[in-house]
Amino acid sequence: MSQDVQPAAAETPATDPAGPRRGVPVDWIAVAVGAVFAVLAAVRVLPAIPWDTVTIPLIK
Amino acid sequence: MSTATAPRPWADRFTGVPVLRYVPGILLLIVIGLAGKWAQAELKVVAAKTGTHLPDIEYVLWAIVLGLIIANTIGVHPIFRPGVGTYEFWLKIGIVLLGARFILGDLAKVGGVSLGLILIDGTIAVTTVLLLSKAFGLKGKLGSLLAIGTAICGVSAIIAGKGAIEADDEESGYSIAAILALGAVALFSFPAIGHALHLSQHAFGLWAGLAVDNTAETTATGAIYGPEAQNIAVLVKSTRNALIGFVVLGFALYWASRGQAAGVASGFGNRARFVWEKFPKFVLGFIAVSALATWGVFTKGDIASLGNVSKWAFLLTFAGVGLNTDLRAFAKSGWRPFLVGALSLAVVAVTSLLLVLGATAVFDLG
Repeated sequence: MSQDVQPAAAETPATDPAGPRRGVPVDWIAVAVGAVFAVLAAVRVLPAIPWDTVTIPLIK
Repeated sequence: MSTATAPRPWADRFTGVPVLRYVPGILLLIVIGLAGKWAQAELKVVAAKTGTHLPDIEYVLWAIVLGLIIANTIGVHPIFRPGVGTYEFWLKIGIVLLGARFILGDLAKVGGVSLGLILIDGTIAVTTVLLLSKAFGLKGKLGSLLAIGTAICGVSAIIAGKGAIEADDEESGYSIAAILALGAVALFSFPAIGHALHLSQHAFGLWAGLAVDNTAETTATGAIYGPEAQNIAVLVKSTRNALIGFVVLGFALYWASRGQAAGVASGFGNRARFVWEKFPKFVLGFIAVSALATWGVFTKGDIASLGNVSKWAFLLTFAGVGLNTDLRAFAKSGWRPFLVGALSLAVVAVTSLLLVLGATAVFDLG
């Protein structure tokens, strides 16, 4: 590759040089969805709904 | 989908496409995943009826192959693309819920051992990729992106690194294409090698977590070998993913020092913020769910239910791996990035296998 040294770019704040990015991070949505399922399990709602009986035979 | 050329709206951010637009693609993921399940079960039935010995091919492989065939023959119709692109989202949900299968002590033990192995392996990976990139005349930032993708976590790491080192779309596209192609190679080759070497589930999971580049492919490679191998592979890979910020920071500072990228403001606070921005937050969810399991919040039945949800999330992921792999994009990117990646994968695979065999014996990881 060309290793030409160009004028040093000014330091920027700690944010991504690509600029501010729109949208909600998928990671946080995944954590939120995971939290909902964890709470449903913790309060014994998840095992009580017929989700398992319907879906486990499909995916077993 | 042309992973190598098109933006990946669901790779790390949800950008507000109307929710209904995701439905057809998500349904396609479900259909392909279940078709994989059906194919695995039917092959067993045929084997039993005919009395022939047929290999038990995991549904993961069927789903991926079906997806690959569709994506590379008739192609994925635009109506399905938004939903099909969500496969990494399902992967992250699956990983968060997989936390219920681990107690924090196990996380600390396996995570601690794997952290040491990752640091050794990652150093070797970065050095190998950079040396080979120079030898094959790849542009510097392309080599950096391949090194980031090989050492840490594939596509997500490349996307994080692209902005930080100001690589162009072509360089990131080539890197993503090479990393995904090599992930596919690992999917088919690692389980065969693991069986040939009679690796235990634990050892194979460690190996896949250390050496396979992209998280979805790592999870699938582990799943093809067995459920315990999958769990360990996900745990090791999540540890690897957690280091993404440090590696990207290193490359960002390097390219800034050469005047070819905007730097990161100096000072511990600014750099810590940079590392935090790149940190994969779903790992925190995985640890949080594991903490709940450790504190006895879940009964056995709860854990089984969460495991079921996690399996469904992974089913959608595996279907998406094939559908999102466009072999034509790899061909367009040329042979050199792929060759550099392939040689690096071979070096990393051998190194990590030796590390795993050593660590398994020393730490009694069974």
